Amino acid sequence: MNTVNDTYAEHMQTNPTLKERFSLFGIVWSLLVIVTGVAVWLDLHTYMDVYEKAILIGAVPGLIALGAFWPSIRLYLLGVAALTLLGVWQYSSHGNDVKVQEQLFLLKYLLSSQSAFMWMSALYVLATAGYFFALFIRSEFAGKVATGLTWAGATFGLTGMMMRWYESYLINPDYGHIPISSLYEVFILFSVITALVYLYFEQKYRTRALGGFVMLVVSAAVAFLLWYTFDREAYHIQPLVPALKSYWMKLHVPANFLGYGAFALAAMVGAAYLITDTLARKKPDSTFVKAMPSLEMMDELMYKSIAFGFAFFTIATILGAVWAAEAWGGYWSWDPKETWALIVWLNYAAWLHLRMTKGWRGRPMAWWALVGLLVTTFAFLGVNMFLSGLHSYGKL
Amino acid sequence: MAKPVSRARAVYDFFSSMSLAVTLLVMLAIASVIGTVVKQGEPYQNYVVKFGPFWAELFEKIGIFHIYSTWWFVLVILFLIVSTTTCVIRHVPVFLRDMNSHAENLSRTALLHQPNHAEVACTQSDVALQTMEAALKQEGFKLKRKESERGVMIAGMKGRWNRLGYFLTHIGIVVILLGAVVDSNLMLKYKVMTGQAVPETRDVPISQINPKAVLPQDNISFRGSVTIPEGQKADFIFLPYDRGYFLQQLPFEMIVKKFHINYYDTGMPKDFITDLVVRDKATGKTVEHTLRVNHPLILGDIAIYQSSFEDGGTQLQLKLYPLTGAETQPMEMTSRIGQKEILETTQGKLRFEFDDFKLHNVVPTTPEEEKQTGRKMHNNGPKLVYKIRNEQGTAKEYETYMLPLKQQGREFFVAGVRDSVAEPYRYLFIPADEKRSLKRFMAFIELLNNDQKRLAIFAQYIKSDPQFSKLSVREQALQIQLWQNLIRLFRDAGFKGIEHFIKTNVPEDKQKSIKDFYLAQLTDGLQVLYVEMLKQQGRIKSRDELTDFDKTWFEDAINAVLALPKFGYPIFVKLESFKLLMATGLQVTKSPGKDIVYFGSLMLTLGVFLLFYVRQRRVWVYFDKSTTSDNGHTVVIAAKDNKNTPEMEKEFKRLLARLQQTCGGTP
Ligand code: HEM
Repeated sequence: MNTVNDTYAEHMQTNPTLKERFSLFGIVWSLLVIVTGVAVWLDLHTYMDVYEKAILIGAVPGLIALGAFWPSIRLYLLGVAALTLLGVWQYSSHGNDVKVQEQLFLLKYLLSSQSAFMWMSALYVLATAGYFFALFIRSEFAGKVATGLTWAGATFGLTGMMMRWYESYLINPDYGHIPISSLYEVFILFSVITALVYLYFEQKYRTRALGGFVMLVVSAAVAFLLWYTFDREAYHIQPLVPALKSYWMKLHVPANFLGYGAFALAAMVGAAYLITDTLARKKPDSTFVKAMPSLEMMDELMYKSIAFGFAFFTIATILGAVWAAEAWGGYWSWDPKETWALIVWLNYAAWLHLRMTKGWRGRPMAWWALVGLLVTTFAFLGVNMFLSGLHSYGKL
Repeated sequence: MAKPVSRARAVYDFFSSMSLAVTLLVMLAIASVIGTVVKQGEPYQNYVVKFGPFWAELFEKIGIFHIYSTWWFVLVILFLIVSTTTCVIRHVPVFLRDMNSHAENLSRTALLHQPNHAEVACTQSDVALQTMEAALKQEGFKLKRKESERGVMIAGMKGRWNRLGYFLTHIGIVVILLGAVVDSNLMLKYKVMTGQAVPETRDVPISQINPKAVLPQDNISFRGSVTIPEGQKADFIFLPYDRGYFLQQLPFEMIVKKFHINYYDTGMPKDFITDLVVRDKATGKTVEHTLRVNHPLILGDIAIYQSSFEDGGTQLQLKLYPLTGAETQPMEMTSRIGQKEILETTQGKLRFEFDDFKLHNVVPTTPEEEKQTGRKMHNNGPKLVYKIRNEQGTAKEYETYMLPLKQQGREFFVAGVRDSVAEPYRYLFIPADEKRSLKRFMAFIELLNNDQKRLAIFAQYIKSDPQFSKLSVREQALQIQLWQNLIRLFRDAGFKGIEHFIKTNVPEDKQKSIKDFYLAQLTDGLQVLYVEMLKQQGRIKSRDELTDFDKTWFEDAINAVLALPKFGYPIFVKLESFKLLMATGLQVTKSPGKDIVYFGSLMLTLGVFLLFYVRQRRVWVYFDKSTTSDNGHTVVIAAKDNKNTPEMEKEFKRLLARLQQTCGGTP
């Protein structure tokens, strides 16, 4: 076998072993999930409708399976849970008054949703810089720090979302809703999910050199978020319009963002591919080229990521159709958002076909993945900004 | 040249080709993009305004405005169904064979052409084969052992369901599209093409609708809506079609008892709810239901949704104040939203069209108000939207608020006017008096309009004022005349009127000083009028009693008078009271294809996961008796993954290591 393949194999990391999947910690963790599920059920089931109960019941084995599939997520979720509980405790021990977030130290500087998002933003930007720094000085340690920063950013991001969920009920029980219903909120969801999907791939394929590229997209999302926060004051928690009051939202939106996140990741890997390939043609021995994963590796990662995104985007679109059937009276209305989701889907279906049936690889596919991000971004952001339709809820 | 057989083959090849599939997908995508960029299904006039008559006509012809129901779009979908179906048919034998065969008949050379392969020298090939068999089994491979005089072949396969994934995805897509076709209006289109059905394009009462535009209740699928006012019922819906509509009869009657909107404390709507009774026409059975957004009512194969709302004919009690007449006695009027009233005026016959009424009008608060109240939203209360149309047919659109609105701490009656829907409203702010009414303003306007009344006030004032009463009669008359003229100029054309008068009547070198003098006189005159008016009303006894409120009111009133000429028709419509009547917009659908679509979706989802996450892997371990070497035999091991993934390489290395271990040597 040639050397390219050797480095390739080096980059390949095995899946977690059975031991890791079902370690003692894993068992404890699974028990904790069950206990939490039962506790939530006992505490809140009278407030839930049948679908929400189904979601809760489904979430328990879902989380256990997720933990077995990706052991690292266990510690992450425990961290988020601990921080969230701490934040909730801060509120509840002060009369559940949302205003105490301006007085209590922990809330004001760490755990209120707004400050958690600020921490997330800062950590992500630092992580991006860290990854690039590690790539240029070729320091393993710096890379590890960047990975740690990304984990920390994602922790604060998800914690912030949980706190925002709680705070929405504190402001007014009527307003309470899962924070995935406005552009502001889904941007946070996007940056959390993209970071997590990346961390999964990083761990599985040892691709730390790609971190900077992927985190660049996340940093761009953070930049948008900061502009949206400070210029537009979009962070205010608003009550939901009637069309959004549906349990389907809790499934449809996260599934969608798994898709968007994975597509964004594929695009950035595509960008890294193109840069590496171009440099490798000019200077095959440059340190940069050596530091990057092999081209085959990146090509494969692009495929893996798009396949993952496509699978979840398929589910999301179907869930969206089911929801639309319930909210608007038709599973398909050719509403702009819906239609653009279809365009994104068709785009990646074509990408997958050409790869699978015609064996296309390399540069054209990398370019396509990169352009795919534009299409995806338009579906995600452009439709909301430029086109009107049922998704903007202008009418009802 | 082509023989019939090969022609059929060519058609088959064409339909099952990847190029056709990708072309169709691209066409679908492009049409979809156009459909999202050009707003679909708007009134044709809007397009003419937007694109001009030529392009609008052309676009209409190729169906840009109804892109998703044009024949060519439907054709693309049908082609996609055919293409995907033929593609599946074409792959069935190949993939089935692939799923079921272990490929145990491959030759040694064929194995050496696999993506992963190696040759290992083996002293104890039987043991090696057995060990590998056990190892592969443990890893989940299904094995097939073939022994012949030439050697022993162990062929393993894993993940054959991957192939099933292909079938599930592609058949799933076909099923979804078929379901969508069932729910589309293809049948109706066919009826329209053959003249069996004709859409109605006129805006006529139900009873006068063309019978060919009325669809029987057993239509297989439909999706339309109807607006029903509270207390009324309907047993039909409207299906929009091109520039017209069809009337779809329903097997039941929908009786709307009440429509409500629940609000958040911000004033934003929280829920839209219809109290509905549905009575089956055949059985007479009734169902009562509270219909809400996201909670449809399902009745067999028909579903009813809360989709919109509008005014259902709210009763209006109005007062119409003339703004230019010498009398300002308002005229009382009773009407309803949706009605038109004709009024004879000095400007000819005017038609009042009462278009809409909104009970709550929530707007963002100003930053100052937010600081005071902590609220981001503010409710301006009831609002009436109406048009005044003249005999030529041109109309001005108005909106007017029932209650005075707060602006910088003062209260105003606010009414807006515009010449077309595309323009923003220009607002008139009439200051409310101390009783939050229009009375003081109307009295003041009356004085400005009525020369006689004004004359009387001035005459009396001049006599009683110590300063003016000293003047000669002629001087007094001149003073009054000056005021009268200035006020008339001001009323008709504002400050500009006075400037214009000076420009045309005064020599240039004196213009500036005269202007200052006139403006001072005008202010005096207006103030005198105002103070005397308040005295007559008994509100004050002397000028010293004017409060700050009175003073700012005066300034606001002057500004309002200045804005009057831009208000269009000089009639102020004041909403005195109303009796709210809402109408609910219900969407009714019959979509038997829905379950087909859901079933197809399930297939698609399953298929996608099988395709992506089940790898079909093959491993061959072959002991070829003919290839004995010095230290025994060689065993060939090869592996393949239908996706050619890098994982395979790793797995192969592991298997190879295992083989080498049992063979007790290195290759
Ligand atoms: C709306 C239409 C279609 C969609 C959404 C679609 C979707 C897909 C997807 C998601 C895959 C999996 C790719 C992968 O394994 O990574 C695939 C594979 C494939 N598709 Fe399609 N497809 C469509 C139409 C067609 C048509 C019309 C053909 C026939 C020309 C076709 C032929 C194939 C073939 C041969 C494969 C490869 C299967 C394999 O090797 O495992 N597809 N398709």
